[in-house]
Amino acid sequence: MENNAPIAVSNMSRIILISLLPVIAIIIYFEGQSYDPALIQFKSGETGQEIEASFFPDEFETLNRAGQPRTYNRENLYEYINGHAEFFIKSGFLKLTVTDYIQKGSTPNQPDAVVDIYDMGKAIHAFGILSDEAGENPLDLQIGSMGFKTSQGINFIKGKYYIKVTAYSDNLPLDSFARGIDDKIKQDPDTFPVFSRFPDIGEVLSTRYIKEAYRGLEFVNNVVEREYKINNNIIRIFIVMDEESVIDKLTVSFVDYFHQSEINYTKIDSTGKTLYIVNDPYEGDWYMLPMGNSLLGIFGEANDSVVNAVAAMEEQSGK
Amino acid sequence: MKRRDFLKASFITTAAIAGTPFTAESKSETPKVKKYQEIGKTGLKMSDISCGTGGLPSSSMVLRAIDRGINYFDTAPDYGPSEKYIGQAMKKIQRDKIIIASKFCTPYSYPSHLTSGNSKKEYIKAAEDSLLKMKTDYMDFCLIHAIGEQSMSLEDEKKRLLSEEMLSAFHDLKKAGKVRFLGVTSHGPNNLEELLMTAVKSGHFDMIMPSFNFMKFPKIPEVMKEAKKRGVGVIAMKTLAGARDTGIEDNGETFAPAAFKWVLKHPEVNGLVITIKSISNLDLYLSASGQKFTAADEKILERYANNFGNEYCRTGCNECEVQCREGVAIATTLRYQMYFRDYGQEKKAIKYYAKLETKADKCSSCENKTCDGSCPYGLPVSALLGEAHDDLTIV
Repeated sequence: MENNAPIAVSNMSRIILISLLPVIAIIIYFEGQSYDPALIQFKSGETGQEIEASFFPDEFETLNRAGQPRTYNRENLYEYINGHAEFFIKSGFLKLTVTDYIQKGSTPNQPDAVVDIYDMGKAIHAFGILSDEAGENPLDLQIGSMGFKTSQGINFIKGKYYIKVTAYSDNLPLDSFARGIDDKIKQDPDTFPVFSRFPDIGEVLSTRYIKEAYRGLEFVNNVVEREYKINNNIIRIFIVMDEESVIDKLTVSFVDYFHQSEINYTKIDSTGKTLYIVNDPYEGDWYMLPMGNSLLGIFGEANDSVVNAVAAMEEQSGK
Repeated sequence: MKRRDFLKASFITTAAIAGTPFTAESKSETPKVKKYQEIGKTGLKMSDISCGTGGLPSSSMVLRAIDRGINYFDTAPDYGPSEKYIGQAMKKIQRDKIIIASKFCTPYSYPSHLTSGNSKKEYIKAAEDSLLKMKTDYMDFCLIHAIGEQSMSLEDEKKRLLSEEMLSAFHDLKKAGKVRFLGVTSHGPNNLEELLMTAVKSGHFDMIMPSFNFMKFPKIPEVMKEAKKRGVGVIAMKTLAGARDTGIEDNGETFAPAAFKWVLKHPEVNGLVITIKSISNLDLYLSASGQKFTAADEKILERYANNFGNEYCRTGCNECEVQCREGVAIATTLRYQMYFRDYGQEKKAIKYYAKLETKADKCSSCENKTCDGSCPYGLPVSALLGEAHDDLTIV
């Protein structure tokens, strides 16, 4: 008898539920007929557009916004940055919102300033684009998560956004304008733990993120590369961080690639440590150090003492 | 102490050292460039498959490409670090063995492509900045970047194409030995054929670089024929027609090489540029070098066209438009629908469509639908126009 009680309750529930079905159907039918303007949406998604649109002030000091923000997606980004769109898309690009500004009192034949806000999906992707666009010798600027200034404008990142403020006229309040936009973007400034793994071996010239196919090798993804200057020598160190099993597979992929591509290398083993010295016809001699949950490579004009110093530092930071 | 011994001694101090040298196995045959053709009358011979640098991953990729026989590199200041990478590779390159083309352009955001409003000084500075980054004294070509992109007005873009400031800058750069030849690129979307024909006939240009593929811009062959007649080089770009489905293949023959072979079968085309981002790109793309377009290739392209061709109006064809007695701007209407559906530019598309004098609502009352059956690519024109009108009007 005790065992039958729950079954009886369950049967009763089913009967009630079935009897309620016509009532539920009628409610859904009539609800469905009522007009809800929120249901009418264009494909590109008004909500997302409104978020980015709110980052653009209608006016700022001597500047007025000219027209509504324009948006570009993965399919039509090439209309805005032909030739480089694919690179942005590969780097995680989701959406671009662009707005023109004109100086108050001027004729709006062409914009005096243009603001581009790229939604890169993730902070690390935005960082990747910023570091790629920085070119040589950018003037660092304390804005957003990080940024730089050129003769044409200010580029910075904040959270998942990469922001480009470009001036087309002289005497614009560019710094304060960029900071005004920075204030409007509510994003947590992400940190990148991989940065702390880079050894302190010299002057840091640049740091960049490569999402896919590092140096054209399709099996090497999610790489951060830092360029150093040591006694007038340029050295580039790259790090991939992942689970140890993934790093192991990556190391095997490198070795397979060396064999398939006629690249000679020397493997030096010790307890728990391995150094590969690679004689690469395209990259020059370079060094590879798998270290547990990271794989580190050293390119450029590195001498042996630099390699040893890096290995020692990595060993310390890995402990 | 030998270098490696030193390194071993320092790197491993506490444990037994086992330094094992591995000598590479002999590798299987890798695809290489098999054909070179002269670019117009320049005397420069380019690899039929050449390197676009929009997504160039490193300087080493330049060296890999050269090692495979690629000798033409198409770059621009707004292609990220590509000019810098070419510069980094330069010390290992025999400069006179490669051809470098860059653009009159700045590395800054749009409009980075120089326009008719830019001064001679700005044009010269753009080219000189490129040379500095590429660590070379000269570039073989400097190109007007993407004509037909900045304005829908043919006249405005003609002004940019034939800007006195630009031509004078090129003259000075050429005299100084900094730029050898002048070129122009266009991927539309506006007046591509007319603008390139103007460039060809102007006598100022040594090379044109059109968007050219098996699905697009049917009047381009006329422009290319004129170019060949006048000794103007033709280098094709955007050759993969969007490459919507790279999985298409037939008996191991894949889509990209088939699309390249189609482009290269045209005798007016001197070569094509394609972005090379990885080693497997090199392997795949170079498999088309020097190869004939075959029946298998045609099958692959047909399959691609079957999958996507009946959705794709070839800008500039006009076969249906001349049949329409109502004067509906068919290609323009379908282009606006593409903005609406594919580009997510609904508002822009609706706004543009509203400005058209004769809209596709005429089609619903049309009793003589001559447009249907007139499309050489089999598009159901009147049905598409009906859908376009629905998309582009707010009821």
